Amino acid sequence: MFMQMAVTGLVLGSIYMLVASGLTLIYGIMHQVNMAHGVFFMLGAMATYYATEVIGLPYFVALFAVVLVFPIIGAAFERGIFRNIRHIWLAGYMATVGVWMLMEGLGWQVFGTEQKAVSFPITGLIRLPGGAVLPANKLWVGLIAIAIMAGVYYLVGRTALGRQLRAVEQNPRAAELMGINADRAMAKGFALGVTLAALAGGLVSTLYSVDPSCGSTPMLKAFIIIILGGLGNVTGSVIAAYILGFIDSFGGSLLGYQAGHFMGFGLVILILIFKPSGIMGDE
Amino acid sequence: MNSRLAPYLTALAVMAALALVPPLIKFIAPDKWELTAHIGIKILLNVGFGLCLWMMLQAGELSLGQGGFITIGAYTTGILVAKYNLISVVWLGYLAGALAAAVIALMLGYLIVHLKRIFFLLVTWSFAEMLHPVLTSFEHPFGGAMGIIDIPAPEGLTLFSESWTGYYYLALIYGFAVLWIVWRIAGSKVGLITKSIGQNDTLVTFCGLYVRKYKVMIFVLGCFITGIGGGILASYLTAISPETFTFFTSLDIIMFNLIGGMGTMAGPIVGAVILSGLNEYLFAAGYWRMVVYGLIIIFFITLLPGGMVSLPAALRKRFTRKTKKQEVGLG
Amino acid sequence: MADRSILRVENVSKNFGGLVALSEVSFHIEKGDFFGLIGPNGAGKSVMVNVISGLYSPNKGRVEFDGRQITGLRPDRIIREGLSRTFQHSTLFFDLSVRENIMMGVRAMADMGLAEAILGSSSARSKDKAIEDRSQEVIDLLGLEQQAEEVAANLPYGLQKIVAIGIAIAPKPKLLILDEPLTGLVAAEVDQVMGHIASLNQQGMTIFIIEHNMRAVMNFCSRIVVLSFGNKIAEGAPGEIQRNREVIKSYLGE
Ligand SMILES: Nc1ncnc2c1ncn2[C@@H]1O[C@H](COP(=O)(O)OP(=O)(O)OP(=O)(O)O)[C@@H](O)[C@H]1O
Ligand SMILES: [Mg+2]
Repeated sequence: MFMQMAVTGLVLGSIYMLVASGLTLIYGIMHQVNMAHGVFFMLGAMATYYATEVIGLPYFVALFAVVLVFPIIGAAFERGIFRNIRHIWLAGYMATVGVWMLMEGLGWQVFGTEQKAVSFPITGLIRLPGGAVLPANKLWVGLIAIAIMAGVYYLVGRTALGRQLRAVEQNPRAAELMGINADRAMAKGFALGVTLAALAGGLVSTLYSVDPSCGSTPMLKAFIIIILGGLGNVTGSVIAAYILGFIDSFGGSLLGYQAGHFMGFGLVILILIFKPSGIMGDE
Repeated sequence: MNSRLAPYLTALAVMAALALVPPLIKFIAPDKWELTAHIGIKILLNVGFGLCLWMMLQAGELSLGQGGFITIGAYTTGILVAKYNLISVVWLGYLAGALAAAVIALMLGYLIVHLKRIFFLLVTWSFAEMLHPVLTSFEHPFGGAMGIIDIPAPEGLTLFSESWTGYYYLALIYGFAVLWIVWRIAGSKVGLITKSIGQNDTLVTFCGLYVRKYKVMIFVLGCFITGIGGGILASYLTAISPETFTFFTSLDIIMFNLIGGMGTMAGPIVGAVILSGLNEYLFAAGYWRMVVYGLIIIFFITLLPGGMVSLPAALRKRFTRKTKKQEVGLG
Repeated sequence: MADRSILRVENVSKNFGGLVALSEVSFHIEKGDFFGLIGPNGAGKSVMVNVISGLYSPNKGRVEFDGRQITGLRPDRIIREGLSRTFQHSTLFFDLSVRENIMMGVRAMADMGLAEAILGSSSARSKDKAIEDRSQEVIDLLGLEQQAEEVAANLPYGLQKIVAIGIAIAPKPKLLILDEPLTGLVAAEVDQVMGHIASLNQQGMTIFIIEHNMRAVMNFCSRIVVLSFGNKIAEGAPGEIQRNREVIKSYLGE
């Protein structure tokens, strides 16, 4: 039982990690809390559903398509709406709320209200040492999420794109002086963050059934995580994601969903009041 | 002397005109009155909520938790006058609701007023989010997921043959009372201090004023007034549950200011009228409602950031000189 | 000692991480003085003012104002003790009118309660009147009648600096600390501002000025302290300071 919950916590944490790291990346680079993040999660799930269950593409091809398409969608939103207003914090925040409402509303119209599920190519049960038995897809989803996150670390840490993003995050003006186009870097950062949310959606659609509002809960969780981890701090978010994953897995099983929700937001308030730099932050 | 009285006379005239609406409609089109009254009640209460937020905005506090304070006012009233019958006078229930909202705002406000901008917004939102699991989890005293039912109308309202007519007048008084309070403050030296805090709180400190005191004061007052509105809503709806006031309630109250414009007091009033009216019609539109909502937000933010009250000036500017963008509102 | 000093700074040190912004600085100011604090960029002058006025708390040392220790007090309390300060970078309520800006400085502002403001009671009206009278006095004193109703953001830079001084003198402080009031002003404006400051000093207000304009400092100050890299390197009358080798060295950056 304990092992079961521990592994579930790890899988949950890995998914949270994807959603939250995208959200915190966007905050770090654009100083915008992206309330539309859940919508991109939902769109990713829907895209995966239509690509696999309707068109009939293999699951991993569908995931790959998500990686190809969502950066473009993300960049388009950034360019079309967010870029012009991001210097006004409230406008930036509200615009993401607007996109959330708009896209979720359209989602209900286009995708309908029925729950959708995607089947994962690998089925069966996996017996873990310690007596835990887990559906194979759950385990695989967790592993894929970790692999994607490793890719993000590589991208941000080791590539030219990552250098641009980090420069803009530290100081957009200085980055411009170094010859980096801050606008374009922000578009790339937004595209990357949004793609991570969409990938998470694509993965989750194989575990739980999805509908146009399915992004709200992951978005809330991700929001709690990025505050715990310190806004803009990716590694902080990774750690906080697993903490929340375990809280949800153990706390959720022991205390129920409501208690988890209460504790999550309570923690947010405490952190914001007493340690706004998050659990990893200095000072 | 004349100019000092002018605003009062205008307000009284508008109030009198609105007070004449019920008999007039009942005379012309009696079957339309009930619906009109319900819309009117929403609008007038929302004007109050919007103005409270506007007042806080002056001090640089943008709360996304006002729905939470409505909930606190409504639940306190419901618990005291309906569920446990601890208070027999409904009006006192409203007062208790307002006090509960104010006390909680005092404790929360004291801890969070140093937070600025997005952080204040996030923490007030988180606070409102925390209420939902508490209300759902405890049968006593909150009534669990079912909430509280059979909340009575306040004494005296039964004089009206139709309850909605009574609530219309109650909401009318509420809306204008809030208008009066917020207007008095805005025009006073306390209002000047509040506005200055929104502009530069460090300088206010070095004027020898304790910024925290003023911010907490405005936050508490705003939540107190909002709490009364919550109590009124509780009786008006007769039943409340954890789902009655949500994130979208809080968001609406910000939207009133966004749509109307935050620069002047007229903004939230105009915004509350437009959006509450629209909400009534969109209610039947199902999921299109979200689409329209999203479009409205995006429209105002990108094209009319100063809100509706800036529309005349924006149009004038557009047609006289072909200038590109205007920089009003949204500080 | 039945003390004539209005401000005593004793062994004040302030670090930011590894950076030592102030190191064991001590000096005092006598009542009625025209006191100058000078030093090259980054010497720690503004940090000193921030420590005195309570914005920063010192790592070591204490500050005494008018016979009372003020280290550890809240900034607004320190101001209400009778000490005013301006900021190096023009700091105003830019969206408010000049008159409203100056009202904000008036002491009686702090006494206005919420309930009386809403009800407009007679006590509120008399406080209103006191605030308005005092702000009018300051406007007259600084010659701002013409611009009184103008929004501060629209004023020329020189006038903005004068308005900032107006906010600071509105509460009739015993000590006025000015952080670089002349920076960015043209010669005529410099004379105008220094004229105002000098006449305030003649009326008995103690002045503590930080300036890079040596001509103004040497002409007006009776006593000067020089900071360099957080250390006090000299103290004395203008003549002594001008001859001091340490000072010359630190300014020439040798
Ligand atoms: N809040 C702060 N955090 C970190 N370092 C600071 C802070 N404030 C000042 N410093 C540092 O302390 C040193 C002294 O700064 P200060 O502003 O007092 O200089 P100054 O003498 O006023 O110079 P200037 O004539 O340019 O105004 C500088 O190195 C500055 O970078
Ligand atoms: Mg300085």
